[in-house]
Amino acid sequence: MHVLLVDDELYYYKLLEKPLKDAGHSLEYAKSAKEALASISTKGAEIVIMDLRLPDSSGFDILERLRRDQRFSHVPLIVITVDNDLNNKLKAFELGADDYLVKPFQPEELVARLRILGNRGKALKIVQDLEKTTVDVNTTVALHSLRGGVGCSSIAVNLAIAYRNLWERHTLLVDAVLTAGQVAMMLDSTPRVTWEHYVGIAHDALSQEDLEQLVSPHKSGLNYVASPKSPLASDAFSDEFWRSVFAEFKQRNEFIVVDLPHDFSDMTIQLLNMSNWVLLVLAPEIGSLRAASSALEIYDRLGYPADKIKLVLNRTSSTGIQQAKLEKVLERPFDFVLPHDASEVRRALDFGVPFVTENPDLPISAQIENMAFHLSDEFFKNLPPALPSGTWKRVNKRLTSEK
Amino acid sequence: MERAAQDADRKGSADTGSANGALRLLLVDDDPLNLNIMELMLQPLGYELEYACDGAEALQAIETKPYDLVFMDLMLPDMSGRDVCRKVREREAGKQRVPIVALTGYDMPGQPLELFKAGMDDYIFKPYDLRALRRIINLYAGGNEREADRQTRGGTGPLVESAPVLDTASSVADLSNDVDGYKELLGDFLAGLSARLDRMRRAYEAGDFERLNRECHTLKGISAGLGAMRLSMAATQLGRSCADGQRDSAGSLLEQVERAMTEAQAAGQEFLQG
Repeated sequence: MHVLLVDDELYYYKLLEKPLKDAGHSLEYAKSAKEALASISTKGAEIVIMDLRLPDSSGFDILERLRRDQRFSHVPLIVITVDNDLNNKLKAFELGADDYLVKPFQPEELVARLRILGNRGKALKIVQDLEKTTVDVNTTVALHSLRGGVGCSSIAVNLAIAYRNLWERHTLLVDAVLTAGQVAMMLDSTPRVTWEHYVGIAHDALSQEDLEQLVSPHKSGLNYVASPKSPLASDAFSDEFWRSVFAEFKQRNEFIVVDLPHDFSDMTIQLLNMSNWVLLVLAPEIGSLRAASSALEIYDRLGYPADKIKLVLNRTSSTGIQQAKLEKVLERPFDFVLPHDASEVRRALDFGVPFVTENPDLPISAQIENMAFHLSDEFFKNLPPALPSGTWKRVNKRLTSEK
Repeated sequence: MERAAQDADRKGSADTGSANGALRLLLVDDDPLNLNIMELMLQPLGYELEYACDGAEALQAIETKPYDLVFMDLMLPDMSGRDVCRKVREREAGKQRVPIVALTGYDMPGQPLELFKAGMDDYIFKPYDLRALRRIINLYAGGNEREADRQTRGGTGPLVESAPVLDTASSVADLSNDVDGYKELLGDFLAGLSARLDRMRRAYEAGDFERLNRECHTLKGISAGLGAMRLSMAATQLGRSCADGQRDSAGSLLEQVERAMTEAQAAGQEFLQG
């Protein structure tokens, strides 16, 4: 790593030069705040070691400046000082120091600490770089079915949480069932603001603050928009309204899951158009099969490419029509099959705890997590996370063993 | 094992310090091997060692009697070392604070900040050696700091004189036994000593105690790093008197620094030529 040492005593440069080089680091030296800022601006640094007492300024000042500067805010910084005062330590950490080592120290102790901080710095840098690119990367998935009771909302909720847990990115769950959406209930949350507060507001009068209010945080880290407390007609909002709202949502989220009404209203078609993938959900029974068949026909008429539609079989009961028969009628295989686990799904519904959170080891949770991975932008799939989440590790293990 | 609690019972809860003036250390670790290693390293040096095997025992021990320092493993059977530390800090509520130093592995990214947030004073990596332990003990449980403190309050005394003029062996060990490296650092340091003294004198004569204090700080760190413990201690005392505004004593403390410099210079030259 490229290390910048800031200390007005040349002694420390000489003390550290050899041990750091032996450990594979290159060392830059600055003996004042001015030199330090010049050095890091021109040559960069992957890690900074800094005394708090410098001839031209306090180390605290530099620390603050580095943390405010986007270019260097991620660079790990370790304070070395003779001060063993608790308040000094707290102040240093408050201003963004990553470690604090009291002089005199053994060089090998510093080398060990650098190793840990360096790894962390790399991870932070990758995350920061990613954050800068987020605006361009968005995956919007719509859950759809012309028939109710096939588990669309449950899949939507769990899929959204799986996305969030998998990538730990901005994830939004939108309940677009304006008549009696269940998302808030399934999340065991009571939102303050829902769609109904936006009726009659012209789309171009919507402010950023308005939209921020519409989005409620959930304790899982997910954000969601709940359905109205009293039913709204599907034409309550204009096409422009949906377009500007979703344009904004896409700007702010890498993943959006939409729970759609069981129809082909103008609003539904709008939202289908804006999605990257449509998950058509069916249960293994004849009514659901008919509904799915009609839906596929309409998607075709709407000109959706075949791979925009993902067919999901939700085994809502242990019996029902065989998968092969369903596939024969629909003339295409299922993309995802969710195993039957009524008790868990029911329990999660009752308690308002999504099953992917409550019990990630269930086969149905594993399927949903895998689904979240498959339905992710290549950008994420090709780039192993710097600090992989538990979900990512599980999915990775499952998919690797499948191969 | 409830040795800590038993010790506490035996000595009574009103106990305020160890009987013979030795530093009392508490080691919190559930692995008997670690306890034995620590004992092997520290007992010969005259420290009074006590043990706790889990968080509950540690909390009870710390509540029952004062320790000069606590070494705390982070993964205890009943709770994390961080949580134990948080609880201790809550109970202390800003009153006298027992130094707690974490014993931690290499493989925990982002940890230093978490440890300090939990109220730890510092941490060392496992496996640790005696030098790492002694450095921490000196830093937090007295050692040099405490002696310097005592003497600043009570004027100069024989204790500075009792510190080694130049402990080359432990400093060379600190530098991974790089004798040539040590000699180079020491040579530079000795060559710059008279210039340092000049700067300190000028600051003193100009009444610039802030600058004098800065000089002391620097001198304290480097001289301790090189094993010139007597000089380091003298610089610590002078620095404190500057910071505390005890300017009357600064003159004699500066003379003490000067004497320690002369001694370090002589011992250092001898080592360099030997």
